[in-house]
Amino acid sequence: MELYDGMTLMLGLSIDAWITIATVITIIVVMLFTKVRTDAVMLIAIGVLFATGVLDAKEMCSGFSAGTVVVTGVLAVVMAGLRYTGVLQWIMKHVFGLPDRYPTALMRMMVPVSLLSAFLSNTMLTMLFGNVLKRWSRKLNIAPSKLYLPMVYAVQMGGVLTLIGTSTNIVVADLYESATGKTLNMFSIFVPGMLCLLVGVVFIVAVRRWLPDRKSPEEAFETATDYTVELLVPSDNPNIFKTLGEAGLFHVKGGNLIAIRHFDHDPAFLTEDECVMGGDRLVYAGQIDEILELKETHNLVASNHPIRSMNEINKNYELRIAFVNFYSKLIGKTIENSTIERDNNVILVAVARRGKRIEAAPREVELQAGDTLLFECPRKTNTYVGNLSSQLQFSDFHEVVKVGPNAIVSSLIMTAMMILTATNVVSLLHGTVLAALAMLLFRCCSINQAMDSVSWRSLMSLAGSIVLGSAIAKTGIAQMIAFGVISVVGTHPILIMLGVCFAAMLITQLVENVAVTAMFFPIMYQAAVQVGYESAPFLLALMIAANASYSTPIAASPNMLVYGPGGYRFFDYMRIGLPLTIIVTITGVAAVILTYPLVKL
Amino acid sequence: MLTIVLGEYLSAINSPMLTEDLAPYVNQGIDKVIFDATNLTYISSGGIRVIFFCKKTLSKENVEIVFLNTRNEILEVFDLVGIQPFITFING
Repeated sequence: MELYDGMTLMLGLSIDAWITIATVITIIVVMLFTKVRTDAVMLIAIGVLFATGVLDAKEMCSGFSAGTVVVTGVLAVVMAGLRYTGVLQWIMKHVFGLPDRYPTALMRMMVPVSLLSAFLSNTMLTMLFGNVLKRWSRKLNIAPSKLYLPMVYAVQMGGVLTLIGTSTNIVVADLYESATGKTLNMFSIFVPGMLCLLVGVVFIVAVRRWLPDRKSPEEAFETATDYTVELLVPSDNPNIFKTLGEAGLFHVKGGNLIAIRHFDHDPAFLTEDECVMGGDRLVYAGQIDEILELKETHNLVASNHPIRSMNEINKNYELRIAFVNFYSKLIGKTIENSTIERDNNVILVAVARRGKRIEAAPREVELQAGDTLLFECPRKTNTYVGNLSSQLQFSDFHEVVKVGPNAIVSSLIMTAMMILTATNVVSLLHGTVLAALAMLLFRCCSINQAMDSVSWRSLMSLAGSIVLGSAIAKTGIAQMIAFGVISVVGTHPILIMLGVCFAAMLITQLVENVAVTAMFFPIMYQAAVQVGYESAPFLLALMIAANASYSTPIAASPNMLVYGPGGYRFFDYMRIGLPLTIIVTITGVAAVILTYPLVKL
Repeated sequence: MLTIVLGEYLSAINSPMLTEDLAPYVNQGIDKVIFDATNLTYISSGGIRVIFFCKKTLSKENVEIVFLNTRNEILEVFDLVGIQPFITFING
C-alpha cells in the first residue's frame, strides 16, 4: 500500500475517498437515528472533511457562496412579499370553492396548490394551506387526514415544475452550470414535471380510499365533552373523611373522575371507597359545565391550573394547540420533567394522541412524536422562536392579511421575475435579487418580515450538502459509483438513468432531498459522461427522483408539517406514498426521455 | 378500647401492615382507638387512611379517635387534610 499522494489505494479509491464515504455513511446514520439538526450534521461533516485534508479552505467555503444558496435565501424574501401583501391568501380563498364530492374536492385543491408550488417554497405553502385546509375540511365535512397528505404530495409534485419551485432543482441547475458552463432554462423541467403531476394527481384520486379517515387531533380539545378539569378539596370541606362514593364525587353528572391526588401521592387504584382528604386534587373528564357545577354542590374550588374552554379565554392567556415534532427533545419525556413551561411561561393543559384525549395527568404523559398538546400561553407569545418552535409545531398559524394595492405590485414583481429569467434576459440569481429588492423597495414586506422568512438553518444544510457533493465528485467516488452502475445495468442510457434515479429515490425517503441531490448529482453526471451522452436529461430525471420523497414523514419538511395536524401514523405515508414515489419516478424518466431525446456526444 | 403505639413514621410502607393488623378487630365492639404519637414525626396520606379505617370501618358505631402527645408537624398535616375535628388530642 502506498501512502496518500493522490495515488489510489484500497479498491481503487484514495484515502480521501474513503474518508468521504465514511463521512457520508455517518451523516446518513446520524440523520436517521438521532435528533441532531441537519444543518449541524452538515457543518460538522464538512469540518471533518476540511480537518482531514479532503477539502481545502476554499472548497470548504464554496457552499456558502454557491448561487444555489443565495438564490434560495433571496427567493424567501420574494415569497415574503407575496405573503404579506395577501396575494396567496386571496388565491386560496377564491380557488377552492365548496365542491360537493370528495374526488372533486381533491382536484380543486391539488391542482392550484401544485401550480402555486411551482413558484413558491414547499414548506411555506404547506404552512399556509394547512390552516386553510383545516377550515375547508370542516365546511366539507371531510376528515383533514383525507386532505393533508394529498396537499403535501401536490405541493411536492408542483415544486418540480420550475427551477425555482424547490431547492433540489436549484441545486441541480447550479451544479450543472458549474460542471458544463451551460444554463438550464427556468421551465426546462416543466413538461416532464407536468406529466408526473398529472399521473400523480390521477393516482391519488384513484386510491383516495387508502387515505386514513381520522378525527382531527384538535377535535379532541374542541368538543365540550372532552375536557379534563382539576378541582381542589379545601380543608374545611364537609365531605372530608367520607369515601368518594359517599361524598358523591366518584360518579358525577356529565363526566368521570379519572384521578385523585392526595397531598403526598396518587393512589395506585382509584375506587369509590377512597377516602376524601383536604388538599386532594380531583381530576375529572367530561362536560365542562356539568363538572364545574361540583364547585357549588360539593364545595370544591378550582385548582392552581384550571382548564378553560376554548370560548372562555382568559384576558391575559389564550389556548394554543401544538404538535410534538419528529426531532423534538420532548419525545420520551414528560412535561413535568422538562423546562419548557418554565422557560416560556406557558402551561400545559391537555394532551391528545391520534385524535383521542389521553385520560391521564397531562404533565405526566410520556410524549410521542405527533402528540397534540393544548397550552395556555400569555397573549402574543411568539411561538415561532426559541425552544418552543424547535420542540413543537404550533398549528394556529393565523395571519390575517388584507389584500391591498401592494398585492398587485407584488404580483407584478413576481411575474416580471418569472418572464425575465425564463427568457434568459437575466440569470436566475439576478432575477431573484432584483425581485427581492423590488419587494422591499415597494414595501410589499418589511425588512424584519423579509429576514424572518429566510430559513437560515435550511441555507446552512444546503451549503453543507453542496460541499459534500463536491467532495464526492473530487475524490473520484462519483466516477467509481458511475462505473459501478454501468457495470451492473450496462451502458444503456435509459437503464443507467433508471438505476441512479431509483437509488436516489430510495435514499430520499430517509434523508433530506437536498443532500441526496447534492450526493447524486456527480454520480448521475459522471454516468452520463462515461456513456457519452449529453447530461442534461439525466439530471432532469434526477430532479424528479430526488424530489419524490413521499413515503415517510421524515423525508421532507412538508410531510412532517402535516403529520400531527392530520393525525397520521408512519405507515399512512408508506401505503400511498411508496407506490406514488415509484410511479412518479418511472413517469419522470419516461417523460424526460420523451421531451428530451437522448443525444450522443 | 384499643391502644396503638406509633413509631417514628406512619407512611405508605407501614400503614397497610397496620391496617392488616387492625382487621381482626372489625365489629369487635371497639369504641375508642388511642394512638400514642409521642415518637411520630411523619405521617403520609397512607397513615391518614389508617385513621380513616379506624373511624369508619372498625365499628358501625362512631369510634372515638384519640391522639396522645402529637407533635406540631403532625398537627399541621391534620390541619391541611381537615381531620382535626374528628380527633381528640391529649398531651402529657
